[in-house]
Amino acid sequence: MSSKESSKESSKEIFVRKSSGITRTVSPLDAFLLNCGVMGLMFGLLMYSTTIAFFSSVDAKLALVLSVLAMTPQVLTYSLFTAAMPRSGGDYVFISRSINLPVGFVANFVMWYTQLMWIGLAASLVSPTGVSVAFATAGFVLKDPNLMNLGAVFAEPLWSFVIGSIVIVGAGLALIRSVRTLFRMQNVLYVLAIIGTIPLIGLLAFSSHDYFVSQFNSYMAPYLNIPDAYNAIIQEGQKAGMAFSGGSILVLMSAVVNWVFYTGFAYFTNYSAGEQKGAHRFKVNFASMYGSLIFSCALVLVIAWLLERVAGHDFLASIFFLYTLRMGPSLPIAPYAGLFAGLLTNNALVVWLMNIGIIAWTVLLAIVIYMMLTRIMFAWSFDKLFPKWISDISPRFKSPVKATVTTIVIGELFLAAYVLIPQLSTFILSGFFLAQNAYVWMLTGVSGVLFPSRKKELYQSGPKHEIAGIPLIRITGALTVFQCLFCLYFLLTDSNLGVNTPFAIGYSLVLMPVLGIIVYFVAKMYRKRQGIDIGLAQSEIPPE
Amino acid sequence: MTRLFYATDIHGSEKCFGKFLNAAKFYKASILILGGDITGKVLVPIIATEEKTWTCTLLGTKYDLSTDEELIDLEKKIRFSGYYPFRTTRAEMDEVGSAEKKLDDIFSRMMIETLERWLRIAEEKLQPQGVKCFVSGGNDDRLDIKPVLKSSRYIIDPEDQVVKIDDHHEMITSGYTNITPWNCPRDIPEEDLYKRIVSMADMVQDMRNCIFNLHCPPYDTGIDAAPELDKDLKPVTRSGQSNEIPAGCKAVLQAIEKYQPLLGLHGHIHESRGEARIGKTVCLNPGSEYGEGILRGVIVDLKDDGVKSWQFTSG
Repeated sequence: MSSKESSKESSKEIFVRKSSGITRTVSPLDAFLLNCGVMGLMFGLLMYSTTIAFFSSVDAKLALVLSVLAMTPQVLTYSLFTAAMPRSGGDYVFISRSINLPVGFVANFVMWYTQLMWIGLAASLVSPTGVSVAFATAGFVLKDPNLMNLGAVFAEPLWSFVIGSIVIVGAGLALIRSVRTLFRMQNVLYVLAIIGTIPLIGLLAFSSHDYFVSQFNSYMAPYLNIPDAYNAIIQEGQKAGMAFSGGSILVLMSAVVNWVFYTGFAYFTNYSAGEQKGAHRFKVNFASMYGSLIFSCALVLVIAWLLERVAGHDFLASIFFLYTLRMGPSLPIAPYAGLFAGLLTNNALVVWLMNIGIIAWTVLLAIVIYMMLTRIMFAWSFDKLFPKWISDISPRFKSPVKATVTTIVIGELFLAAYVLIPQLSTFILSGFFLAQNAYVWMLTGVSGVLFPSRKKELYQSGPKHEIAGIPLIRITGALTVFQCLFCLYFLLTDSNLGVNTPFAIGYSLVLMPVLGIIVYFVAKMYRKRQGIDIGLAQSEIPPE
Repeated sequence: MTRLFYATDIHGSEKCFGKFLNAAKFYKASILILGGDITGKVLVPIIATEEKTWTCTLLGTKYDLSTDEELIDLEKKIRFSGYYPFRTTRAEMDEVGSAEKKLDDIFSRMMIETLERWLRIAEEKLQPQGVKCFVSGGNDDRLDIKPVLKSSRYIIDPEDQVVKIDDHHEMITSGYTNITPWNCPRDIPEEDLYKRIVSMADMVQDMRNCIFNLHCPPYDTGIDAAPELDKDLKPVTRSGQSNEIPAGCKAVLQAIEKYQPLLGLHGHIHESRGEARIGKTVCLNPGSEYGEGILRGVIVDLKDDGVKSWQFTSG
C-alpha cells in the first residue's frame, strides 16, 4: 500500500453526520500565551543575571541562543506526544502509558514537588525585583530619600515573605472563588506585564552608557560614599577572580545548561491539551510551544543586549556576582533590570508602570503553576494515588478548594523556608535542574523512544511522522535523552551551576524520587486493602 | 461481591469496543455495561478507481490500495479510529455529495451493519465467559439501532425497562437526554425525560440497590460541565477563556434526588470525567477518549447492600 500526505483534505474525503460534539476552546494563541506566562520575562532576566555572573567569560546571549536550539528535541517530543494523546493530560500519562504507571507517577511527583518549591521561590522574588525597585527608583527620580529607603526596606527578607504570601494566598483565593476569576486576573496581569515591558525596553534603548554610569553613581553615592561606584564594582569583581572574556567552550556549555532552567519549560501546555484546538496536530503544538520559547527568549535577548549596551558587560557580571554571593559593596536593593532602567528616567510614573509590569510577570508565573499543580493532583486523585478529598469540588464555589488550600499551605512553607534560609535556594535550584532533567524530561525522552513499539496501535492510530522510516518521536526522544544527559554531566561536575554538592544531589536525585516511590507504594497498599488495584488505572486493554 | 465495568461514548470506535469486550477478563468483571453514543459520526469513502485499485484519504494521508489485504487492513484502521469505511465509486460519491438522503441512508446502513457485527463478536466472546453485557444507545444514536440491539440473543438492551444485573441489583436505563444545540435523535424536553425515568423507577423493587444508567449526567454536579456555545455553536468566551456551564439534565437530577438510587452511571459529556454525590447516590462519569482509541471507564465493586469501591480507568 502506498501512502502520501495530502496537503489538505478535500471536502469529499470524509462525510460527517450532524451530531453532538465537544468543542475544544483553547486556541493555539492561548496556548502560546500560557507558555509565555510560564516562561515569564522576569524569570528570563533572572537567569540572564545568573548566567552573566557565573559564566562571565563567555557571552550569555550566545549561550541563550544555543540553549534554545538544545531544547528543540524536547519541545518536538512533547509536541508529538500531545498530538498522539491530545486528551490525556501531559507527561504523567505519556510516561505511564509508554513505560508504566509507577515510573509515570514518580516523574510527575518530582515535577509537582519542584513546581511547589518554585511557587515559593517565584513569590519571594516579587518584593526584591519589583516592589523594592519601584520604591527605590521612584524615590531617586523624585529625589525623595524616604521613598528610596522604603525601597531598601522592601528588599528585606521579611517583606519578601509578606509580599510573597500576598501573591501565593491571593492567587489561591482567586482560584477558590472561581477559575474564571483566576483567568481574569491572568489577563489583567498580561496587560500590565506588556505595558511595563515597553518602558523597560524604551529606556534602555534610548539611553547612553555614559548617562547610565553617572545616574548609577549618583544613586549609589549616599550608600557607598564613593564617587565612582560603577568602576568600584567592576574592580571588586576582578578582585574576586572574575574573567570577563576568553572563556572556553566548556564554560560556554555550562552557561547553556544554566539557561535550561529557563528554556526547559516551553511545554507546559501539554497539561491542558485536552481543551486545546488542533492539539491532535503536531505542527499546531510545536508552533505554540516552540513559538513561545522563541518569542520569550527573543524578548530576553533584546533586553540583555540593551542592558549590556547601556550598563556594560563587565559591570553587570560583577554586580550580579557580588550581590548573589553577598560580597563587595553592600547594595541597598537587588540589582535587577528594573533598577537599571529606572535610573534612566525622570518620570516616576514610567518607573511605576515598568515595575508593576515586572511584578505582573512574576505573579503570572505563580498563577500558571497553580493551575498546573491542581490539575496534577486531580489526575492522581482520579487514579486513586492521592486521597479522594483532593479532587473534591466545592459545591459553593464550584472550584477545587481543598487542592488549592493544600497548594497554598505547602507554597507558604517553601516561601518561608527560602526567605529564612536563603541557602535553601540551592535545593530549589537543584530540585529543578537535576530532578527535572533526570526524572521528568529524560523519562519523557525515553518514553518517546519506546512509544512507537510499546504502544504500536496508539502510535499507528494517530498522525505518523517519520524520517527514513524511523518514527520522528523516537529520534526526538533519543535526542531529548542525550540533551538531559548533557545537562546532567555539567550540573554534576561544574560547581558554578551551584547544584553539585552531595546534599543537593541527595535531595534532588535521591530524596525526591524516593518520596514519590513511597507515596506510590503507600497508595498501592492502602487501595489494595480496599480491593482496588491502582495499576489498572492506566493499563492498556488489548483490543482483540 | 459483584464487579461491573462501565464505559460509554465510544462513538463507533471498534478498537474501544474490542477493549470493552476484553475488559471483563482484564478487570475481572462479571458485568459489562456500555452506555450510549455507540455509533460513529464519520464516513470514510474508499473509492474504486478505473485501474481496479482503491484510493482513500484518512487523517490527511492518501492511500492507494492495490490488494484485498491492503483494503481490509485500511478498513480495520478506519474502524479502529471510530469511522465507518465504505466502498464506493466516484459516481456514487458525486451522488452522495449532493443528496443528503442518500448519505443518510449510507450512514444508517453502516451503523446497523457495524452494530450487528459487534453484537456477534460480543456474543462469541462473552457467552463462554458467562459475562452479562448490557448495551444501550445514547442521544447521538439513531433509533434505527434499537431493533438491532433487541435482536441479540445474548447482549441485553436494558433501555426503558427494569433489569436485574445480578441477584441483588436492578438497573434502569435511558439513552435520552435534554435538548442539545445539535438536536440529536434522542434529545427530548426535560419533562418527557423525567416521565420516562419515573415510569421505570416506579417499577423498581429495591431502590437502595438500583443503578440509574442514564446517559445524561445530572445537572450542575461537576460531571456535566461543558463550554457554553453561542447560536453558531462556537464557544462563548469570557475573560479570554471559554465559559463552562452545566450541560446536564435537570430531569436526571430531580429523579436521583427523589429516588436516591444506589448508583448513577452517566456519559454524554466526554471531558467531564468525575464523580458527584447527590444525597446518598454516587454518580460517575468516566468520560471518553475514543478518538485516541483509549477506553475510559469505571470499575465498580458492589456489595449486596451498597457500593464498595470504584476506580476510573484509561484502558
